[in-house]
Amino acid sequence: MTDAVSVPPRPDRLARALFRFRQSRLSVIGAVMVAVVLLLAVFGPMIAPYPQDIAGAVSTAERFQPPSLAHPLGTNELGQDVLSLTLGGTRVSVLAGFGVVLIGAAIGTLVGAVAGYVGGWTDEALMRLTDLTLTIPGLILAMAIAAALGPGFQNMVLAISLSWWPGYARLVRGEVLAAREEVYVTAARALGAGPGRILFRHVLPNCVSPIIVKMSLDMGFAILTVAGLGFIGIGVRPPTPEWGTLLSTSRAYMPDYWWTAMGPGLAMFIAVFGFNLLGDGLRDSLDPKGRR
Amino acid sequence: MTVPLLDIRNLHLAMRSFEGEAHVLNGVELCVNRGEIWGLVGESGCGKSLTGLSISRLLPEPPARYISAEITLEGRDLRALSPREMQALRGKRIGMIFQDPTTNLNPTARIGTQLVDVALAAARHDPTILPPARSRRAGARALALDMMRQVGIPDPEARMMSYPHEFSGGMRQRVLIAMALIGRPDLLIADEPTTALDVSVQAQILTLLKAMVAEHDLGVILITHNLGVVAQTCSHVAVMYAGNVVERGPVRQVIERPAHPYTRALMAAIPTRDTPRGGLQGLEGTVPDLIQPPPGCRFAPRCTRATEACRAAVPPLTSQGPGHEVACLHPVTEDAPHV
Amino acid sequence: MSESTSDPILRIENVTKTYAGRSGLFGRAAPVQALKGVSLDVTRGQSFGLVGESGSGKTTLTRSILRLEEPTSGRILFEGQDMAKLSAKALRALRARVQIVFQDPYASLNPRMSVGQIVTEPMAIHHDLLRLSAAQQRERAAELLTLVGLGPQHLGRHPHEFSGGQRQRIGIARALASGPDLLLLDEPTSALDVSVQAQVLNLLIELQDRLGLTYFFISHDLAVVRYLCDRVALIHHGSLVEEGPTDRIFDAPQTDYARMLIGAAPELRVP
Repeated sequence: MTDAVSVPPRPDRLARALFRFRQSRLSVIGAVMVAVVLLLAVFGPMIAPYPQDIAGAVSTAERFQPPSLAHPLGTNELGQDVLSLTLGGTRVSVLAGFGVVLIGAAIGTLVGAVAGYVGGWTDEALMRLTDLTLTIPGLILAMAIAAALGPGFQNMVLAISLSWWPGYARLVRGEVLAAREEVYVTAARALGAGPGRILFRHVLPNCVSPIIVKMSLDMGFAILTVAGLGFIGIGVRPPTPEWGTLLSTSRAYMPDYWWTAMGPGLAMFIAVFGFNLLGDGLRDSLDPKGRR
Repeated sequence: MTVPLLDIRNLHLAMRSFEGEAHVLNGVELCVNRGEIWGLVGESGCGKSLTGLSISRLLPEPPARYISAEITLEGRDLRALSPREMQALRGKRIGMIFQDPTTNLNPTARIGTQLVDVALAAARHDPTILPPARSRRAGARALALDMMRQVGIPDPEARMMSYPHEFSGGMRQRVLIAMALIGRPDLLIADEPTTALDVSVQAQILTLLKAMVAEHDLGVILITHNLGVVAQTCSHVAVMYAGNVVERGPVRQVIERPAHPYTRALMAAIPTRDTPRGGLQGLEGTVPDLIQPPPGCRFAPRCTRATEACRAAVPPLTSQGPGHEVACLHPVTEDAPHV
Repeated sequence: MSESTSDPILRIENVTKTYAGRSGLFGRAAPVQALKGVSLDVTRGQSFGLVGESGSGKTTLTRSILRLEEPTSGRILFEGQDMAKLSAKALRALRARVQIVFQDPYASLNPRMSVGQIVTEPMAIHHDLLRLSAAQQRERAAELLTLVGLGPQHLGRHPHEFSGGQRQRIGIARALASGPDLLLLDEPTSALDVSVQAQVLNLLIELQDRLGLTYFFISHDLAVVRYLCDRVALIHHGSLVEEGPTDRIFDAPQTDYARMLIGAAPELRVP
């Protein structure tokens, strides 16, 4: 009877996950890149060398200056410092990406959890709706919604989110179907637990890891989509700097004034690459079975 | 004295994990001759499977790290072979069977195709195993059929066209035994081959294993947690505890006169027909922490006979009768109470 | 050990269960009869062993007793009440009195819950019956953990911090939390090492003696059934093959199947 008295304390899941995460150098690099992007999103406008340019100041005398010490990434057609604009754009892009992924995950989790748990007719109806949404190209749906509601930050986020949730719905439905068959769920049913308790205490908490992993992997793509909408001109309106819009305007001045595209392009590359590396690392450490 | 089929000496293995580096095998010694079935028994985490995997070099390094190891197959040092030579050896001289017969067969290929592939691969190393036939493939097919017959699969010609899911668990395990034996290995390592099966099927598989040893003059290492299986099947047994072989010898001597207190404790925990209600004895305490193992005998903290000397150094294997060795300073000498 | 069946706590009357065949691409497979008219009585305070190999129907019978599945025909009576005729409320109350310990101690505990949450959950679900405050629930969880050989210091720990045997003790504490009379033990020790199995079996005996529990013990391990049970039933292909007092079944089996099964169990003897 004494085998049980001493249980050596073992580090918990989080510490283990962190250990597995640190085993991969790429994941750590991804995490650092994401941290830099997030820091710039918060403090970018404050450390920008020419904050007045973010606000929309124009100095035609300094048009199209190539990169120099005063303007490390050069200036654009309005004489604005490209580095400052890029830093200023980080916040909009990252916030929009977050918004899209959060709203998409929330809607998708709700739909997927209900479909997977209730099953039967409800499952059929919800999953066919999901399939239907998947058949409409996201960017086109977003353009349609933006056209209907008018351009602007909130409308853009909402528009992309509405085409973003089906992936989560499918993921969560599959996870719920699997978790529903776990022995501890049978145990809860045998105890007389109701559906609400089973879903919220037993099933969903065990589906969180893959959702977080997918959110992280999706962040990069969401940022790209936001930039894409900006690029075709239905995202955030100038003078608010945004990576897609910045790229779009610089397109007219290529290839002579190539540096105008360098800033936003590099920033997008770092953000997307960083989030993808981080997502891969998170998947390997939180949800090892998800790796294929 | 002839060279033994398999000789393991001084096998020390460390495994890196989150908590630190665990010293999981602590000087394992084992010697297997042709015609012998060695039962490697112990509870989970004692290192019995790691010993089997070390022989066929199937442990990735890292996380595994060999501190020292001398493993020879008929005098050939396995540790010195190149990965390519080792691969050839695994196909040809060492056969392996694992616990779960489901996951070790390709679900999308017919049983016959899988067996013929294995036969062809084995024939690359030793073409003489194929019976004379029009082509290599026809020879491999004939060999596969013959093996299926030998492991007792009824109507082998029809069954070659079946897929794994059409076989029962026992039949799948027979297929895996056929696969392991197709290259006429000298050594067979069977890791819990019957644990996933029903007792009636288990009895058939173990009988089959014994017949195969008698027919092909194999050496077998049967890794199991079930001392009953060992008593019924094996000629010899090695009992492992926390990375050490603590007792080894002919199965009758070990089962009827177990000398190591751990072997005794293990046997006292198994209910037999005469155990009265409440009369089982569980083993007090827990398995030692292998990251910082106790310096002496690893069983000493749970042992009722332990003294200061036991805690000072790992006791060596000493003779306890013909072929019967025990790593204990205070071995038990009476007969086991239940025999 | 009582031979009388006058007061069965659990009575299974001619229960059958047929699963409709799976419909696939090429039509419908034949229906599968998992249980073919099983009848048995479990006497209060007894340990009843149900022995069967895989596919014998023992799992279906267990799930039917827990009402996780509906028998196709036949009745299952708990203390004389037909479980199928109970109202939802009465069924919930009954679940507090019939509990189960599962085979796999690694899968049967929710990894995201602490031991305290796991053991108090039955008390929260059956709050209307037990009426324990949060503090009382915690106190009772501590008592239960002590009863199964763990302690109050483990309330805040999570399942992954425990060994298999310790997890099975947590599973037993959870099963006892709602104060059951009948405990279904679904191969509770087959995933454990023998030295740990011995401890858990002895714990089960001790608990039965102290709490007067009735056990319905499902297993494929004849030695364990023989050690623990007063009566044994052998189930094969969905029918009971043989049933009777443990000693009688083991010493004088009447059917070929029973003889085969007993003969096949590897005994700790060198032949």
